[in-house]
Amino acid sequence: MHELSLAQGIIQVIEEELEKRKEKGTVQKINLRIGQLSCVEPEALLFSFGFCSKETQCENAVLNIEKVPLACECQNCGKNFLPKEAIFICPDCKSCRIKILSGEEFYIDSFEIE
Amino acid sequence: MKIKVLKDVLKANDTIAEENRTILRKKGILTLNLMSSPGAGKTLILEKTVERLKKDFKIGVIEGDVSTSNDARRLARYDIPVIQINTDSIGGACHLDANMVKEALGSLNLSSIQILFIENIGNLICPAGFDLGEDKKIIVLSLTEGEDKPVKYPVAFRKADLLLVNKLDLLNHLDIDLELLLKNSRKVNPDLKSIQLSARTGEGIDKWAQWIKKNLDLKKRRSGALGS
Repeated sequence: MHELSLAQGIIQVIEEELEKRKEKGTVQKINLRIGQLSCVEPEALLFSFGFCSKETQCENAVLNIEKVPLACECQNCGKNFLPKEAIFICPDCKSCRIKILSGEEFYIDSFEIE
Repeated sequence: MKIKVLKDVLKANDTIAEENRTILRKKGILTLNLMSSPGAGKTLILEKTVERLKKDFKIGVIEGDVSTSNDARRLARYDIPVIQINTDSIGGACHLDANMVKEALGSLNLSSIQILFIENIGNLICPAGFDLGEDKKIIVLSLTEGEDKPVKYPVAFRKADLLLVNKLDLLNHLDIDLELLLKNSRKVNPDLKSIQLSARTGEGIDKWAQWIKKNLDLKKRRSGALGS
């Protein structure tokens, strides 16, 4: 389970941002964008974040997770599509030569402080 | 107050991976990241590979395991530099990340290495998500695991540059359809080349050794071109 290191990563990024802005407030909410294909399990992330955030400015923060669907582009015919299965096959030309446009990201979009 | 960040949490890993890649490029070291599920035969493949290439090339190994230094001991018998990373001291991580590799690079004498193997932690999911700074990702799949693994764990197969199908000596003893296995791997990654081998009998190790030599040559030529 690497949700633990991701939870530590989130806290690290936010602490750096707070430091940069000389912000002393407490973080209320963290807005994340997590790709469908990032292999991140939200439940495990929430659990890890719970104990990683203790005694940090993120201690009381709520994680707001927005899932980003997987979007692909066929490299053969150029069609954009949202695959229904884990194997990506172009619905039009049936090619397997597919580029992933989104769905692999793990972004901190923003956070809210008080 | 809302603060926009728009930062990729995995970016920190990618930045360190690029640093590793730069260090390894300067030294002209071909770096291969071996990934598989536990028990697919990565360590035995490495033993046979080291046996084959040791007299012509200087080889180093970074061994990743959650616990024990069993694999590092197996490889150290060949009198090559081996660094063991155990992740149980850092939360039992299920994959190697770029920072662990960076630290391991610090303890190796890179001037005396031409080929560096990184044996990732046995896991078909997480290692695929972490760039280590390697040149190529190699996925090892053994015949006993079944022909549907590429489509069950597509992320790892999609990112791989080469598929090693191991335990070929068992082919006639199993109900496995090797053609279907290869077809499944190409469904996920149409450009994925494969080499079939048996680390146990040594069959196919030559072909794999040739692949490594070819890629080392390419790397040397590229490093040379960059240096001039």
